[in-house]
Amino acid sequence: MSVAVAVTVLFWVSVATLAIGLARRARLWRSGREATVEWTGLLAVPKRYFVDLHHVVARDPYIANTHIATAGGAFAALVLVAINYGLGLYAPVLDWAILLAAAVMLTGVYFVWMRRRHPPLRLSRGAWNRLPYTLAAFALGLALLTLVSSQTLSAGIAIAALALLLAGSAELALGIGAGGPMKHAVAGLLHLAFHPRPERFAGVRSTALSPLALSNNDFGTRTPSDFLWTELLSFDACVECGKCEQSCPAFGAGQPLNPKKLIQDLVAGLSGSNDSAYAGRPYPGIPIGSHRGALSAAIIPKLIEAETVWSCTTCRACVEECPMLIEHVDAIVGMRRSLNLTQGEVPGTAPETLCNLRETETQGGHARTARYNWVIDLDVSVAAPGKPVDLLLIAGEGAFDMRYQRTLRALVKLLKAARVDFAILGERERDTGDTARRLGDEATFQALAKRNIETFASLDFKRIVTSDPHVLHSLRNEYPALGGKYTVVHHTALLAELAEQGKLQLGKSAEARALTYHDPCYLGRYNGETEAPRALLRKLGIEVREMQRSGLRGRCCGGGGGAPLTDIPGKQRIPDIRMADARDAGADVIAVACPQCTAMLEGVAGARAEVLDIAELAAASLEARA
Amino acid sequence: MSDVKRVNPRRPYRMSPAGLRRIVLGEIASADPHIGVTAHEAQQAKPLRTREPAKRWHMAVAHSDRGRLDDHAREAIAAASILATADTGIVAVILGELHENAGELGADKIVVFPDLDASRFQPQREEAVVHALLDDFKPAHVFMPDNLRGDGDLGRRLIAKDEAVAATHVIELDARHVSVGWSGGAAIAKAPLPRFVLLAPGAVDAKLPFVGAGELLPAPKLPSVVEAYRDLGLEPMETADIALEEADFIVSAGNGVENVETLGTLARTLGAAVGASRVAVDEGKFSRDKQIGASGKSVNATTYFAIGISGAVQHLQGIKGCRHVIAINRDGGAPIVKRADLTVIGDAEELMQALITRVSQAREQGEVSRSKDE
Amino acid sequence: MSNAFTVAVLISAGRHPVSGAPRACRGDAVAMALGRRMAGDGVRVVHAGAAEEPSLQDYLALGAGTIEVLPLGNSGDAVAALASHLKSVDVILTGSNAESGAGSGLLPYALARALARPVVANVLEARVQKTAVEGWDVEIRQFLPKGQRRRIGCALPLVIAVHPLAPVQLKYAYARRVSGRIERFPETPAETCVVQPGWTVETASRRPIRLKARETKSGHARMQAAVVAEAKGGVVAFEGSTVDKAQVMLNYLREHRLVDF
Ligand SMILES: Cc1cc2nc3c(=O)[nH]c(=O)nc-3n(C[C@H](O)[C@H](O)[C@H](O)COP(=O)(O)OP(=O)(O)OC[C@H]3O[C@@H](n4cnc5c(N)ncnc54)[C@H](O)[C@@H]3O)c2cc1C
Ligand code: SF4
Ligand code: SF4
Repeated sequence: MSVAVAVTVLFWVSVATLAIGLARRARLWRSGREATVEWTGLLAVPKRYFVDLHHVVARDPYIANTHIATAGGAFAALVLVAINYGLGLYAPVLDWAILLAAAVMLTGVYFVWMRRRHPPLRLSRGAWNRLPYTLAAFALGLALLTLVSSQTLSAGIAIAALALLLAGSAELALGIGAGGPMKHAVAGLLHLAFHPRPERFAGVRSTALSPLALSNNDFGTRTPSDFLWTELLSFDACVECGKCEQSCPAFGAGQPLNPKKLIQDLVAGLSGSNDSAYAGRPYPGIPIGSHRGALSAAIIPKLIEAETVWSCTTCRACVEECPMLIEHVDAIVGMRRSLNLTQGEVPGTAPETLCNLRETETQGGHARTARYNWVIDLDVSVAAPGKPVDLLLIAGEGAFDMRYQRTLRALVKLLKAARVDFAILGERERDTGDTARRLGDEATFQALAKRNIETFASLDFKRIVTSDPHVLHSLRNEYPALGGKYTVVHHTALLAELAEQGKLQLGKSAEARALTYHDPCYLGRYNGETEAPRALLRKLGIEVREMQRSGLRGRCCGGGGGAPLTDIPGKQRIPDIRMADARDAGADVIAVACPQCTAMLEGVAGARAEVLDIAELAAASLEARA
Repeated sequence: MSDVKRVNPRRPYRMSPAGLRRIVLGEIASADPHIGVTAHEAQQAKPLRTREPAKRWHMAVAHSDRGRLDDHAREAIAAASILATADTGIVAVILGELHENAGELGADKIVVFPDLDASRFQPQREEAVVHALLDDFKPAHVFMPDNLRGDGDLGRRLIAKDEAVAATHVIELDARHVSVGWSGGAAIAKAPLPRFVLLAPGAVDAKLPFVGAGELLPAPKLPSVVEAYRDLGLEPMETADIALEEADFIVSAGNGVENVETLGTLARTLGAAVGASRVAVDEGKFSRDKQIGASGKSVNATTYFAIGISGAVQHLQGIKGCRHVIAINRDGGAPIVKRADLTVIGDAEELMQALITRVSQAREQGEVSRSKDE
Repeated sequence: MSNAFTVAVLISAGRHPVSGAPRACRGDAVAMALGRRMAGDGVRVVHAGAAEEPSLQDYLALGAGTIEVLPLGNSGDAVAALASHLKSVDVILTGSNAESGAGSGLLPYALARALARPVVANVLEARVQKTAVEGWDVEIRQFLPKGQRRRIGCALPLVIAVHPLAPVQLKYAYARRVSGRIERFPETPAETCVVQPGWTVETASRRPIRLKARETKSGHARMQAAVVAEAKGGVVAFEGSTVDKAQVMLNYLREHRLVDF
């Protein structure tokens, strides 16, 4: 038997092995819940890979180039081998092409190896560390074979080449089906085809949680098989790069959450194993090795501890950074929903807040009539049926907080200065239910949303303006699924617009101190609005000293997702870390645009930058003009 | 100048920029150190409420506390006498020892049962005793403090036994009516003055311009009753361990407190429970269950000492229910100053030490003078 | 005696004090949680009133399982209806005060009277044990003010009024609200046995007026009182020695009778 035929045999054996392995893996994925998928997504894979995925990967050019060389070389080589050996053509020209592809791949693998020599802490080791060797074996094996087949053949070399090729093929063919690191290639490509949020590939910042069908007794994710099958598939796409871990504020603060580990635990649950093979950093404070799961066994607490899911601020930094476009927040909220709706298990003061929301429609248990007490001397009209108005101002929960009332009063002053036709919602205003939803209390969210939608339906307005990005997100992005469709603007966007149109004559700010701007997650990452606040600050003549993590990649203040209520202990507090960011940027003032951020950052004890809302800065410039 | 502020002319002060009065201490120190000490109030002779013989009776029933009547019990006797006509006599039935003169509190006749102390649980015997007196006096109205020290319980037992018309948690009353909080305090409801009136604390001003005859009646013999209940006794306890939610006096530490020992000593000296701000808890100086505020506990203490606490909104949220807030802080501009009824500016450690010394002295003197009374 | 004891919890229509929204009455919900701790799923949950009462849904979410509803006739007397319904139950748990109406806290006493049983109020914990002589006995931990606790023993049957600070956690789960059941019982004709005063509710809430003895005061004294009353709060002591400042604090405590020395 010639070497060439041996390669053909090896090729077909590998294909068969891979097919069997994949079928088994696919059975695991398909044990998830039915999901509506577009099969045409398969055709879109190349675009999604080269544009959407690469957009994220390219933030790290080293690894982007390395991956292009390795994966590109491997892909080309495999296709060529399939043609030349799989079909038994044995054409020497194609051998030269294979040699070239193997060389490219080998170059890529060299850089993989280089990085793996001193890997950053975020990278997992274990099986991932053997990858440069098995891949190199594959590429070398191919290269040798193509080289030797054209020359006179020494049996020893041929056997060595075949052995190398066998080792490499094992990683690819056996490893993928058995859940080895290379499964990311297949699962990743399929995940691109069947992504649970396909609109992300259409340039939409798809960030809304999807509603639970409560009437069908859908109460969230209790077991791995309660995930959509497309979600289970997505977990297998994870490359354990730790980009999510690195950006996670809860992980940074030493709270027991690590999004990478969370995804890997879900993979362990999917395949009915445990976390002993996991070779990355743990959930801070929780040792590795004691977590075990199965497809239809409860995830919490055996596979993942409850504190882990309650530590998340839902900031979406992990999602923003993930090169495989995995949706961590959906997974976390799904598990929270199950805990909340079926067991009522919610830590900290969150149960009290949820109770208040059910009983008073405010988070703090206030009377709804008290929400606009701060407006009494400002002569603001209150929206009422049959009274058309351009803008409806929704103050949100911050309206009950004395500190935040200063921001709201500044905003009202600005709206008046711009002669905007606006009205407040008054005692008709209820909480939007955003916090309830993030805490997994979908029932309370939907009840509040339903009542709010009825209220809005009774009023005549063109747009909604709010200073609270959480209100903005839930009204703009999440109410539509429940039948409420509105045009919602953030106060920074509105003020920038008014200033641009010349309706609002802003003066130069008297603020002489160094200033930085903190992007609220729910405005920046959730809604992509990072420019308007900066434009407004520029209008005020203020130069922003950017913090290292800002804009779409800004660091969370710790205030989202009900995390201040569940208050899972860590080593540090998230807002303290953010305040240190401001200090590192040399800022004495930190401009904000959200009541949560205001409260979190002002809660930092000790000497710190002053926290001022952009509305306050803008209103002060009016006074300076006057 | 229409809104001239009236202030106590005897107290030197100056206004701070924040509009807060600052008292000047150098001068006050020379004043009487016993300002406001009720025990030392000049005792003028008060007139007798009535000289008419009693045709009808009002009865007040209350447990004593270590030989004295607390404010709440005094209020019950005061209510009985304020609402009495000239021909109505006041009987005070005191369960437990009594070492003070209930006549000065408004009672005309006093029956004391030293063996029915509040520290013991013998509701059936108490019910029998009081019931016998109800039969003797047939009072038109019976007033009791609605507390958790046994009076609220006894009152309800008597009401249930007689199937009587009654009002409990009474927050307001006059000669004809009582009012109670309705639907958890959302509204007020009024009804004609019933036979049994269980008073919420503070519904009555116990200060009377008159006194009662104060005649001590011999206590009837206790009936022999077989209790259905076995009193297994009180649990031993330590004031510092009182759950914050039910503590009436809290000493709370913030970032400005260096020495946890001193704070503990102060708390013990004052008989107070210990609380802390989040920063103090974060630093590991106190356990998490001591945290007061938005993400900790909400407390309802009558007295709250905020030591080295800046008074962030999240902290203030937890002390909404506190009546008297006393702050010790280095910084007169800290937000706690606005919330506090009294702020003392200075170093926490020094002031805590001084307060410990002063309170210990005062306690000793107080104990001496009290034991002389007895 | 049988080898199991039976526990029932009485629940009433709760209302939020600020919003007036229907909700599980806090005290009753605590009693229910304590009942579940004593008897697990075997605890019976009973409401005297309308089956349509919206707050019952909250009790289901808090884990009631099945709620037995006793309709009240025109007499509106819950005690008589409950007494006849619960004759054979060993431990009847109630909250301390209802949130709707006067919330007098009289019900457990009236019920105990009607059933000729002992009643213990302000209960934090209760543990039922078998006695040597084939009976059941309960050991109770009772709340007393200022952090004090008392232990009380008593034979079954009895009525227990639970203190709101009983150490239980309330867990609200929507799924239980959906799966829970409400079971209606026929109306039982009953004689009224508690007399209620005729309450008239004032719509606007206001501060109650303190009952005071009438006193003839001189103008000066009244002025004095007004000045002192206004002199409350917001005092800041800046200057003086540490000892002076300690004295100021002690004076404040004494002035307001916050200490007894
Ligand atoms: C969502 C959220 C929830 C929160 N929940 C809570 C909560 O439940 N409870 C809570 O307390 N906080 C809470 N906080 C934190 C809160 O915002 C403050 O950071 C915290 O209360 C400050 O604690 P502090 O007053 O002890 O410390 P600081 O703010 O540092 O104040 C220390 C004070 O001590 C004074 N001081 C310093 N040294 C001395 C000295 N030697 N003698 C006398 N005085 C001195 C200083 O003048 C200062 O006023 C929360 C914050 C957030 C964002
Ligand atoms: S959403 Fe934010 S807090 Fe939650 S896991 Fe992702 S990065 Fe961490
Ligand atoms: S989830 Fe995404 S970002 Fe996190 S390790 Fe996996 S691939 Fe990387």
